[in-house]
Amino acid sequence: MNERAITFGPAVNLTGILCEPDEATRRAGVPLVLMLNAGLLHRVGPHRMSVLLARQLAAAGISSLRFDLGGRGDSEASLVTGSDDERVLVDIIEAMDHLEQRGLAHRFVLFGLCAGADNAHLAAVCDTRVAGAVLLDGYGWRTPGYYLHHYLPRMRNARAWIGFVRRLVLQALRSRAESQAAADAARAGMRRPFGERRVVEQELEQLIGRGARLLYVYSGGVEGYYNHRRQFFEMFPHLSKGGYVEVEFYPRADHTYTVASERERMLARVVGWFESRDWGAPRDAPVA
Amino acid sequence: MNPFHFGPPEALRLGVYHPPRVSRARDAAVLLCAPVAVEYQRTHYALRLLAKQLAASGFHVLRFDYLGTGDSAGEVGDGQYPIWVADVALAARELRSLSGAGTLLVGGLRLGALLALEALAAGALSARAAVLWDPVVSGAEYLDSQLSMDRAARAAMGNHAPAGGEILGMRFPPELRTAIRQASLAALIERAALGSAALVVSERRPEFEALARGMRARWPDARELVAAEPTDWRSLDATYDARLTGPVIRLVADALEALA
Repeated sequence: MNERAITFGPAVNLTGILCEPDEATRRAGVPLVLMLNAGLLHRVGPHRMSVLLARQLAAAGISSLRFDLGGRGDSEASLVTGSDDERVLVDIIEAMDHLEQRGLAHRFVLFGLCAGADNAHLAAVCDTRVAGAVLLDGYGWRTPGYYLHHYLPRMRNARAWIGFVRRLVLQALRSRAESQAAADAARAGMRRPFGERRVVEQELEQLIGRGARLLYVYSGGVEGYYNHRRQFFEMFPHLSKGGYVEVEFYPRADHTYTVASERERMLARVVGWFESRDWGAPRDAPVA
Repeated sequence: MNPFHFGPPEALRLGVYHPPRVSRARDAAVLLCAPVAVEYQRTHYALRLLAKQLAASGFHVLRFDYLGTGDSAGEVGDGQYPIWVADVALAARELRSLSGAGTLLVGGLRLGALLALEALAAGALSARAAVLWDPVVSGAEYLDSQLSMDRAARAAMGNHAPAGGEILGMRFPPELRTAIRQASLAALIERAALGSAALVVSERRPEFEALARGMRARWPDARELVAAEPTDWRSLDATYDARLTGPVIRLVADALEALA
């Protein structure tokens, strides 16, 4: 394995660590993995998650670049004006351009946690060089199954019933706004604005239509909006066929995989997914 | 800023060198020593901002990741504490070589301050002065506080049993815990190869007052500066949510500049 620090971008403002396998173990045909910031944390990721993944991928023959978007970690803010999404997109495209121009890769798989997953989705939709994505605690919407998994265990518990009746009485006493605010805060967890489910579904259909592979991994840290493995295919029933989308759910892991055993299990699943996929040529030609 | 690797090829450390603003370049360099574990990820951006301010003031600045942390090679294992102490000296040599600067200053945050003083007390390096920023004064108290937050985190996650000797996501092997538990900043102050020092704290606490007295006994000109906003290092929520603010970073930069 070989790691080197690189800087790139129009103002040489972006910083990352390129991690490559030894030539003897390099796995041909697998796209390079681009690891995105988890929120405001720098490229190392929570509890070194991205570093550990990069080195495990390198041991499996797969290259990666973990880098900081403009203004985060060790990258200076980009000079580009525009919305947050536009600036993020420009930086991710800069990273892919840099690696492609140097002959290091022409296809990519994006890896992101939380806001990193949202950014991975954004870039995957916009650039056909993206052959896949691993999205940790990505988009989610509550389904009937979510409510079933949420309330059913509580209905079997007498103390929960007492609590439920108590809450009903308290809610009746409080102003509607007050109780709504408290309920929202309690349920929020790591929820963030996800936009329209139908729009995301169309974008995912577009990605699968061009042969992209997707691995969605959810943790117990987002039980405010996701609480069982099948929920993804309840949200997007049309995406369950063809094996393009795989879903994993780790209910005992927190949002940042603080516990080593949970982190190791998740990382092993991600590396295994890379190794087991058929990374043949995409259906559409890459963007010129 | 220039990210690069240094150290032996089989165990490379990641460094980020901030060259000085050319028009104000000084013959002085600042080595910044970061905390470890969850405090490392919390403070990374603050140290970058501090380095940027210092470079703008004309200092050569180096930030680095200890072995087994951040982007440096390896994992945290046995014998880690003396390795981290040796890393401070290794990084100082690298900074002197990069900058050619005649004067070295050291800035240490939390456990980084303790590790820097260990290296200075062991004679592994000498420096004009050091600024200790919310330093870990007692290794035992620091470790107990980390363990307490770890228990709170495990309870919130459904009572995961402690596994692999981890504390809040980083492995702390028994040897490392013992070394940290035995560490005392006050004892190191007496032996550190330093010309002077300043203490920058985000709130008044009895242990900081005692440390400041010890520092003034060693260096009569030693200053204690208190930031306007306290930084909470002891609660789990703050560990994940709080950001270090501009005024305390400015205070640390000013303290280093005054000692140069």
